[in-house]
Amino acid sequence: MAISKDLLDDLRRRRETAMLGGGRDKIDDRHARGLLSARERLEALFAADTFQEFGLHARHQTRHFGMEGKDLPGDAVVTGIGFVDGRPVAAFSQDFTVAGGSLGRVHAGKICDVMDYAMRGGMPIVGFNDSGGARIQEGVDSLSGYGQVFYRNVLASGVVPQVAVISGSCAGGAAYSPALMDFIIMTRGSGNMFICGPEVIRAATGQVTTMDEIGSAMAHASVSGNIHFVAEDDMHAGAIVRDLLSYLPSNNMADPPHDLSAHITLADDPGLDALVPEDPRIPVDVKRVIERIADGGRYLEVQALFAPNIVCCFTRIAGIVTGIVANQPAVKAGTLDIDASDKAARFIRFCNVFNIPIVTLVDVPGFLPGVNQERHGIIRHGAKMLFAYGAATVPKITVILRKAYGGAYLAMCSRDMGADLVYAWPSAEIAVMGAEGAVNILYRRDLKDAEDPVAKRQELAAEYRREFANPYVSAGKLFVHDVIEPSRTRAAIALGLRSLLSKRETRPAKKHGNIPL
Amino acid sequence: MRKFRITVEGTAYEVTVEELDAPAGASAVAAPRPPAAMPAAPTPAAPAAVSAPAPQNAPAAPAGPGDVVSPLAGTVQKVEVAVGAAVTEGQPLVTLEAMKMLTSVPAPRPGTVTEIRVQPGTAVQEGQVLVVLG
Repeated sequence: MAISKDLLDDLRRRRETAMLGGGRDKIDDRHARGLLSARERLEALFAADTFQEFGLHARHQTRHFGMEGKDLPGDAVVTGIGFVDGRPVAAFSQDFTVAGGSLGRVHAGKICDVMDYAMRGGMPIVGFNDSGGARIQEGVDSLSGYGQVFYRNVLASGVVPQVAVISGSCAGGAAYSPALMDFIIMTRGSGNMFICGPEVIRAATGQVTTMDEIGSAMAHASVSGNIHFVAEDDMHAGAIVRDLLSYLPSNNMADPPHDLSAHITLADDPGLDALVPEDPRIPVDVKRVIERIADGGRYLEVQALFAPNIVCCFTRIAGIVTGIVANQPAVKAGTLDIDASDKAARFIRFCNVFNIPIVTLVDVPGFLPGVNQERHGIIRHGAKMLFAYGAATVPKITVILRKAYGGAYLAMCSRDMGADLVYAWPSAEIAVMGAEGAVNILYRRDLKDAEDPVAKRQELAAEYRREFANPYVSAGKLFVHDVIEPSRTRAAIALGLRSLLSKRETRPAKKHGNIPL
Repeated sequence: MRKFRITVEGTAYEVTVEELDAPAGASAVAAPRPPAAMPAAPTPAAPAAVSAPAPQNAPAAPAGPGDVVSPLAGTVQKVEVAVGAAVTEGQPLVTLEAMKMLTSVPAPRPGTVTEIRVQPGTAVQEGQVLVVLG
């Protein structure tokens, strides 16, 4: 006795038809254009044969506008779970070959179902977006579907990591689901994302623009700051997702995947001493510093093209997963501006919510002066950094490499903003403002009365620099735990991170803080 | 009232020009100033309650296709190239001193230096054209 062969054949037939989505021709056409199918994108993400599909046999229930009897396999989305590096991941992938990947009620229901599963099981959610938008024939049911997905994005935020991949079109309101997730990866060429496209903008305002200018991967990566990574193609996008997930815990109750060995190397790295020029005006490319601190020199930079005056990246230091926030003095002198503040604040909050320790490398001369900065609200935006650091309860280690001036120094996680451990290099200049500015205020009368004010100012500035622009004043007041040779930095951070692995910090109970937005 | 279409860096802007003081022959152009970077919207007129930024604080002129602009306000410390020099992408063109640091302004693409608009000691604004590449 065995199950009827007819039943098995029927299942196989149904499965084969549904898995072809919009049909072999449409899939071949995608391949010809260098694109993967919705299902192939999931296969590229997951370990072989681990994908378990949900809702392959789902069908739409619309009768209006000629939809009755129309077959839309899987309702234009593939959903399910699979495994990445041995850990479960929930995913959905919109199928453009079926009704343009349009979102109807059942389509949205499938996405919601797999998101609910991810939240119950505590696993990340990855969504591949490739859709023409709402399925107009379904009217407000379609609109409601978006609302249900958005709501779950919010529920899942801070519970499981959420990663969006913009593989194709993601237009109008649909763009807000990715925007509510933690990271967005966008494929160059095929991906585009916008609220109002060039046609609508032209009709409404008369402005002439192009998709490249408002909706392309490069525009979002470098100008709008809406996305975090640019992929060259579908395979590359999958690789970036896997790389990113390798640093993230499955959920907010778990530790990130540290690689804790019984022994760690604490050797000095003379290469770091050699990186620091004598002239304090010559910038150090902070990425060279990060490479020397990171295990194997490997790190994953987030938003590399947006606000490059600050660097945010994931790495491991002696096996411990760490988020690094570092001023980049090679760009805009490493100043903090509106975009840099927004970028870093969101990164800090991600690290905090997913238990990832934060290492801050400080080399900041101040906030960027400028009319635009003030008028566009640098106060409000800079405050996000202060808020994010102050609110973060993960281990926080700060290393002051060179400049640390004024409010920007505080915004880079000073001791007073809650750093657990602060180190400074001997080259550190920690002061309320630069020597020339300070001298102008402190010695206004002496300068006015001096025979040669210029020479006097230089003399006083040099004296100020000698006396105050160093780490020892702060170390003497316990704002800095120790002054270390640059060569010692990696070992000091590694030991600090180990010592803080079981850090706990309780705060007053509240619904949530009110971060300036 | 006359309508014009002005193209800056491949982006077209429709502007309306009204001659306010016709007898004097002065033509006041009220075109929105396109920002140097990709614009999200044309710069709106300043709200009545708040004065517009003083003109001397605004970039000198909208950047053209070969213009290399200053990334921040500062003083030119050194001009690293001469007119006629062939430069490669990433090659330093000008070194600025700003915010206690030296900032190198690299060539955004390969090209030939056709014009240098600054010299050591020149105070520059963010967005001001430093060098023009051909």
